[in-house]
Amino acid sequence: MPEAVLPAPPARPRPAGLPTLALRSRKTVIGGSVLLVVITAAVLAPWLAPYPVTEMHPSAKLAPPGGAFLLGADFYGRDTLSRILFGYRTSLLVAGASVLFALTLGGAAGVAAGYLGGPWETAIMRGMDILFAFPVLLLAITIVVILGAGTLTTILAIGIVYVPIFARIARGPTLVVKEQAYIEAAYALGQRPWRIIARHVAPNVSTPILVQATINLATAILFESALSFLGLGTQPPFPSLGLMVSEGRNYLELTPWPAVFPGTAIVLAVLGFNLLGDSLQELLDPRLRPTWTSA
Amino acid sequence: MQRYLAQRLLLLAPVLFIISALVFGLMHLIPGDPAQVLLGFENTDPAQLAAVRRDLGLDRPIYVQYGRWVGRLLGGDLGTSVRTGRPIAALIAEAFPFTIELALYALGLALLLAIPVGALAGTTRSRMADAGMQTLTLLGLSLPAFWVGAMLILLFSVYLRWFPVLTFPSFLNDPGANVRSFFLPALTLALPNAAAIARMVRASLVAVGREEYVKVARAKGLREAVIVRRHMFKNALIPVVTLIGIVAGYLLGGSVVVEQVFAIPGLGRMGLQAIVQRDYPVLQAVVLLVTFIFVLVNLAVDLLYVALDPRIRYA
Repeated sequence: MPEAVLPAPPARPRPAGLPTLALRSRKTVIGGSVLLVVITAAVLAPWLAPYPVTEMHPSAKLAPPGGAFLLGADFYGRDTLSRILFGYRTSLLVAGASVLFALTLGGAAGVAAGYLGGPWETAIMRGMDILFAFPVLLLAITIVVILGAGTLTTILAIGIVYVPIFARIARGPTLVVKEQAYIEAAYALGQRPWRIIARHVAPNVSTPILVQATINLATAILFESALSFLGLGTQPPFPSLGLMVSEGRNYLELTPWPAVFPGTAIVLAVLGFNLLGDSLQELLDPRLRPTWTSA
Repeated sequence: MQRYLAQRLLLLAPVLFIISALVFGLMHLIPGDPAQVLLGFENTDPAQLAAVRRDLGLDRPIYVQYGRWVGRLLGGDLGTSVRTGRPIAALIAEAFPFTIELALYALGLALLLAIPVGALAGTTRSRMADAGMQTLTLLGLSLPAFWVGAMLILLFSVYLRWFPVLTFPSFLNDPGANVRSFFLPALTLALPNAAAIARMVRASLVAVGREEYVKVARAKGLREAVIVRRHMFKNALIPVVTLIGIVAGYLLGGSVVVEQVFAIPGLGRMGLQAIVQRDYPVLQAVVLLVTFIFVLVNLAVDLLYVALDPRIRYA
């Protein structure tokens, strides 16, 4: 008896994954492109910079943009373009490292709180609440005063301030996942909690955490530049965009450029991360999508 | 509601206690000897140093020092500045009015900018308008305050000479001049907050627009303007109020950056100067005060939230 041959079901198009969806959004493309430029500039700074970053040219004091100094020079005759390129290195290093610190510590704390529950959860989350009770800049400044200003301290200060944000973000999805049947199944199969967390909980928590991380990279760049502006972040002669604005501000009446360009550079990098973070958030939470897509 | 209120107020005491202990502990982690600061770094006479330490109570165990500090705090004594020798409470009383005025001014400007922009973005059917406003608010969130402040000074004070720089007459003596001189710092402080609030207004309106009761109103044939005004706006504002409260909490704590850029002698600048001058009793008092304000304003916002939304019932 010939076997009945069923026509193959029409291939259902797979729902588009996050990367595909992201590429369709103009915000992602613009934000991503800006970031590509910023990151390339930071990575290739030693090769792209026309002058050594601390080299002073007394004849070029406060030189206007154009000529030998494309974006002009500061009060010490240092090339602004070169310092912006290296300043991006500082910004991205501090922002990246501090967010990584907060994401790791806060993520672990949030998952632990959600997964363990009971007194552990109470202890961890109340601790986070107390940390949250402090205004962020003030807490960061206090940490800097205790540890002494410097790049590593800046990373730690921003990182610590951001920990509770990631703990809260990680706890929510953990609570949801914990109740799922497959977790019970994994448990019944005798899998160890560590393995369950790594294999089943972490992947569910990672997406919201990544979105939050993108947004926090934007705020961390602003944070670093503000601390450096106040003299509590990156220390001279290391180039930091905030420090450059702070120095340039003293000569505003003579020439605006040493303050204008580094500030614009900060806005560009922060906007890049904000655009990317915003579009990712919209993709994950359709309720945030603009009205015209539903109308 | 009354039970919830009582509960929250009761919880406030341990929270404030923990915060005060943390602030005290953190300040003691700062390297350096306060007695040495008071004495001056040239003076290294151990006998004098020991005498100053005894006077300040620094030779006692840390929990005794903490107990004394809290005891004095409860009596309204915030301590004495080691730099100026003046009572810290008096210094704060001088600085706080500047911070309060700047905060209220900035909050007012932020709302004035944010609510129309957010409302338009949240209710428009124009793709261009919504995208444009979203880009604008993202740009607002990407601006470093210290740079915006410097650019505003450059444009309006240096080039156009519309606003005076770095003078802050009292409101009572000369209200006109006062409002003018606070405009640029308030605007600097308002911009990023306006962007955040506008985004919240928009998101909230979009969410409310999907509610059943709005669909019913549409089905009844009500005009869109009426729906927005009568049915959507009030409900959409509830989450916005929370954000406004958080912003207010931050602003009242003093903006270290904006006060520094415009040389406003408020709380934030006072804290920063205390760091530079190693006047740690002042720093300690400022950090404590600002954190307390932050906690209290957040509590007020939580309570307001319950009062505004009858659907929320705290058991």
